[in-house]
Amino acid sequence: MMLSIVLPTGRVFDEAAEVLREIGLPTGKLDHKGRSLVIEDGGWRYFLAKPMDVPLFVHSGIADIGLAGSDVLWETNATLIELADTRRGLCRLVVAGPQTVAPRFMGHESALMWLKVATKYPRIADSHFSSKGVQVEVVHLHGSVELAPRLGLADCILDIVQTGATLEANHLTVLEEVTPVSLRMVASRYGIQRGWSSILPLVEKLLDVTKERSPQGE
Amino acid sequence: MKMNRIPKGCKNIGAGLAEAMERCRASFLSAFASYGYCPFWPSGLQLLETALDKLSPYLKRRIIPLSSPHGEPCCLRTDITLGVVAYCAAHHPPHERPLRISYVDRLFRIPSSPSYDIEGYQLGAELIGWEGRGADVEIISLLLEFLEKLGLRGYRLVLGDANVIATALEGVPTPISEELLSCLQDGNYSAYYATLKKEAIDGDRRKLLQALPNLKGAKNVIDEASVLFGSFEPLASLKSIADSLEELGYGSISFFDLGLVRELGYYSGPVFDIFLEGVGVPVGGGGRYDRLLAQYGVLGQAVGFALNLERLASALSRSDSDAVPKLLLWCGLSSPSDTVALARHLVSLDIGVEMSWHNDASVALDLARQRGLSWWCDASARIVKSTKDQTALSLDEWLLEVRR
Repeated sequence: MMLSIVLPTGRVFDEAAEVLREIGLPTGKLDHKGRSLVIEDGGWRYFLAKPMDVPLFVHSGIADIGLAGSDVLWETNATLIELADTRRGLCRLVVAGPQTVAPRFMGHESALMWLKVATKYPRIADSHFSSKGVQVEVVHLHGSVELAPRLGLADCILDIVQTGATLEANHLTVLEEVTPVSLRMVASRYGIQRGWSSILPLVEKLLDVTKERSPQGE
Repeated sequence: MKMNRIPKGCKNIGAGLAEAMERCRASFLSAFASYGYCPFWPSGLQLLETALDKLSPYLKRRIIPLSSPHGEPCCLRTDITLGVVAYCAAHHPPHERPLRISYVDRLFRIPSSPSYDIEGYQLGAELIGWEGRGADVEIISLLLEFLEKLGLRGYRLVLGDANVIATALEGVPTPISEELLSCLQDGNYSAYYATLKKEAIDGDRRKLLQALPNLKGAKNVIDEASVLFGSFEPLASLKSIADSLEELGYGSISFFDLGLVRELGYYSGPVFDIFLEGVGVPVGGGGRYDRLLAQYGVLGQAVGFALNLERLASALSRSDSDAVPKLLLWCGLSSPSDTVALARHLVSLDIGVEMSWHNDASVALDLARQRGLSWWCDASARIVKSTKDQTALSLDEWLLEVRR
């Protein structure tokens, strides 16, 4: 039985491939993938997809397993089984904006009412501010979110931050931490029923290597 | 061409999918009627107070409220089981139970991402008020018999039990057990293990809870679980169902998942999901829901299931498009009455027929191709041609061929 795994292209692809290597899956062909989006290697089939599409590939049953950021999983809210946290692809989901907006985040939450928030994550933005009892205006962008406050399109942004260099370059500072983000291994409900005997050893191996990598051995 | 738009999340279903849905509906109602299941047509609106009082927390979040023309706060029908149980409790005194009900109807729910659909079609059956151990096996085996008759391939039944998980969580403080259950329900195993790791839970129970979500697979996982539980007692229902299904020949499609949780607080015993090959989420499922019955003042067991009719029909049309031989019957030089009489004869032999009254044979042949029909028949010459390669057979030879 050939199992299929969908991997995110772009920024996290290398880390996703590294996770596969660590848990003993064949990754030779991934190193020379070219423009191919379907790669078969040693009894495994890999699909390459935009990070935001990975959950849907797994949810719909096209792939049995996927590697997706926890930010993407939260945003897409697909029905999936989250098998393990790889502790790779670490970054943070934050609210950031110019210093002039900072006072609104320091006082009572009512000061945040009708804040204009530019983001690639409209569902997360809505859920995050709703949980504070605050209604905001979400401006859904597909990229270059950092431009929005600078051009007057929004007061602040909700986005992922790795080093903070892009924020700094655009004169933005972190106003609020929303959640840490990492790469997660997920499976479809059908996938775990179909291939659990093949999936379980992968999860166990992944938990072992993440434990080794963790400084506390946790 | 101008198109009438319909609201986002709604659908007009026609052509092949509608045909497959109708085939599922008719086959389902007839299969269950043979075993004493009576059809039920639920009301389109439900009172909001009833829905809020009785629906599971998951369904409560998906209610679409509105007001009836009489000014009553209502919602579009969110769930059919609720209507079935309320009807049975109000219309049938205890001596008339058990009650067997089947239904096929439309539901309306706030969409759950990534779907946009606000309306869907469900078929299901309920066995209400039966206090015997065969009820679960009856309903599951009838469901499997129906799927088998439909000609679906590669489907699987996955069974779990709410009582198995409840027993595993016995003695665990309520907030922690609720959190663990919620993680299982959400399919978040990494959060489940993280919760388990940070809480003080004694050794044997921790070992059991650690193993529970991993116990997935064929019937032997019940034996593995019995070692961890120290007895078969919490697994008795599941084991009995597993044995019966195996004896009925369903062993190869029955799988077990001891971490399976369906709608927290609603199901109270064995639960199950049905998966179709290559579809990530279940096509439906069901289980024992005695608590809802008790809420209506009825003591006893209730067991039922519901399947998504559209998903089922899509799989059917994929896996079994040529199940019924169909042909386009061209009148040719034959009279309308002779053509209709021949069509009636073919239909009586379980052959699907569409008649064409066009003068030109080639137009009729093109129409057959357009319809996706494999066969075309000249009623006057009694010749059948394949629409793909034009091979011709006499009608009698063709009938022998397809009926074989």
